Amino acid sequence: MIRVMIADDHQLFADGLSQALNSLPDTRVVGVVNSGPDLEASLDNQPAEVSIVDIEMPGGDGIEAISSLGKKTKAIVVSMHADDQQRQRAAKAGARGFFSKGVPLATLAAAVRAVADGQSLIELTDDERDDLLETYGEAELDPGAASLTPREREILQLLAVGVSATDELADRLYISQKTVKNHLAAIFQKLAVSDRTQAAIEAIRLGIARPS
Amino acid sequence: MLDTPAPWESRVHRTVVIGQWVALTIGIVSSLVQSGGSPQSLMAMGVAGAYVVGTTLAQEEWFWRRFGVESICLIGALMVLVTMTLTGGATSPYLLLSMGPPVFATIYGGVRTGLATGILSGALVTLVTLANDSPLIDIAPALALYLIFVLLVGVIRRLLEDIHQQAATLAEEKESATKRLESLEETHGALLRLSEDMSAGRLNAIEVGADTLETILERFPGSAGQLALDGDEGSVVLAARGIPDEAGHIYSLPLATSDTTVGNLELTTTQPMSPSDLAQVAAIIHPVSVAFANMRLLQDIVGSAVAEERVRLAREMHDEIGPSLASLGLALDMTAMQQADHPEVAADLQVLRSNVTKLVEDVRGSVADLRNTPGPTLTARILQATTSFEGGPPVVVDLEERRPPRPAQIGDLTSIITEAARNAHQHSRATMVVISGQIDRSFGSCSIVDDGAGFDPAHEPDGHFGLVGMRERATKVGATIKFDSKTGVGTAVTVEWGSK
Repeated sequence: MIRVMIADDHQLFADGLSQALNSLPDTRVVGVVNSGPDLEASLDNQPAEVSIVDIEMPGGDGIEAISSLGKKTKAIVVSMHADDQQRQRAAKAGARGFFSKGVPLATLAAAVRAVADGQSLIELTDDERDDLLETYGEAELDPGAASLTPREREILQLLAVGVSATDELADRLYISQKTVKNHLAAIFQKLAVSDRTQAAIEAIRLGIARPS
Repeated sequence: MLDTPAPWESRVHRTVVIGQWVALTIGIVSSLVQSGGSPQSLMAMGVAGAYVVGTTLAQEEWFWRRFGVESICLIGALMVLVTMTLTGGATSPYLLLSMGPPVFATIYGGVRTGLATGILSGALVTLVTLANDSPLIDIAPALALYLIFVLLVGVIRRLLEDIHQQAATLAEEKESATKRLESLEETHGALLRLSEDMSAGRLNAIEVGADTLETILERFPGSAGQLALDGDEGSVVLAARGIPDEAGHIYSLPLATSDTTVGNLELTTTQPMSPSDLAQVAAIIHPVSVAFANMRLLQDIVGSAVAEERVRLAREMHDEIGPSLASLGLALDMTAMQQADHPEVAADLQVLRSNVTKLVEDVRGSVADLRNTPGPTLTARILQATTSFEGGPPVVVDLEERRPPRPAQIGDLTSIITEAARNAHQHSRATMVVISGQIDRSFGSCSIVDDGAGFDPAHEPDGHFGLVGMRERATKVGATIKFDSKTGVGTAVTVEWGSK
């Protein structure tokens, strides 16, 4: 499991990226910060092999923050400022990868794996980078999450927003309470959890559901 | 004494001449009545007649000559004295005629000369009276008449002189007022045109500069001028008219308001300008200077507002729209993965994802554009580059540029097109090079066509004409470059980037 730290002041993007990476079987987001100085402090408490860092953040430039991280983490810059000048700055600061925020999840996931494996993508041409990333596999959902049925996903989404009573779930989904219990048992098994609260947390982590 | 004869002097001169003829007639008649046709009477008649005829025929200008009036009046006084001596001295019937010389002296020489002539005449009459043993009382009427006539004519002369002086002063003032009026009319005309331009929304610096310069040059035939505004990068000539005469008189006048100088007006005139001329020019350019200062202020305000708005938009797009779209893209990726069992749905989601990726890239490009200060257009850059080509065939630039290429692309695109045009201009032996095409920010197509020698595409002259460098630049900015050439027909280089 690759531990990932996200430093981005745009909460919606950071949450989306966090859920997307958590939905993958081999990456786990250990923290989200919204400034350069917070990144270094958070890494002291929550070590992460890879950090995904934005450039423009309050309280300091993300690239400057990377230059002070040393070997604490391997940084990938993901920014709206994806031009050659910033790429060169990032490379000089020690970043291993450099992407626009429009990067597809599959590409970013492969980049996280490659960087965690000790590769540096930032000096490569686009073609060289794509060739290298191909060797780090396609992104796919966590096996447990991938095996969930649509009805089980619906139940997880309701659990995530606080609807946890069996009768209430049955009323919302127009099914019997016995059927609800059967679906919950299957969910617990697929996600390797033991209760409804853990199932809701895992659903949020995997990006299947959003908290209320 | 006045330097030149005034109209009133001619009229008075004629009046005195007529008066002398009347006095001569009276003298002749009275003399004939008193003494009949005695020889002395006839001789006096002859001398008096000669005097009157002489003064009648005398040109006015003779009186104005040096010692002219003194000489004429002295001779006249002696002739009249002879006449009076022959006809009874102080009681002579020609007494009235003897007023002539003092009167002429007063008219042309002033009261002092008149009095001197009168005293001379009086003294001579007194001598004659004493020589004839006549009572001195006889000369009293003569002396009184001399005095009265001289003073009367002197006063009249002074009055006429004052009137003449006032008339001359009024004429000068009228002329000066007319000139001022003309100047004001021209200034008013210039302001009126300025006002009309403003009302019609045509208040641009070039039109105002040209109107102003033409207004000024109309006043000074043969002159030339140049009106320039001070800019951030030096002086900018707004209007230039005429060819300056190398031997002309050069004047440099600032375009200034009370607190700032916005430019300069340089005039070259064939004749020196008087202080009045310079004041008139200053009166014309002052309101124009104020207009230019206001325009510059307005431009600064608008420029500042636009810059602030660009920053605000860039921040909003960077901080809100871009990341939100990127987040949407990640959510679509996750959803597509969740729908792996439904390939059709996953494929639709992938299309949607691609569109979101393109949107994110567009937002990113727009943020970069907004944060860059807008520079010259591609057309302006190419025009500037090609005008520096020396000799050779003409280079025609016919580009339809709706919006300039993105800042990250425009420099390399300019280099590619300029290099292709330079090759055609210097090496193709063409009669004309045409640069044409259409540009609209992210996409564009530009052709550089010549009718020169061309080359064999199978043996592309890569090493000599920078074709490798052009291709590298094209690749760098995501453009394609194509060479079509035929020996003896010409070459067409086509650069294309982006797609609609």
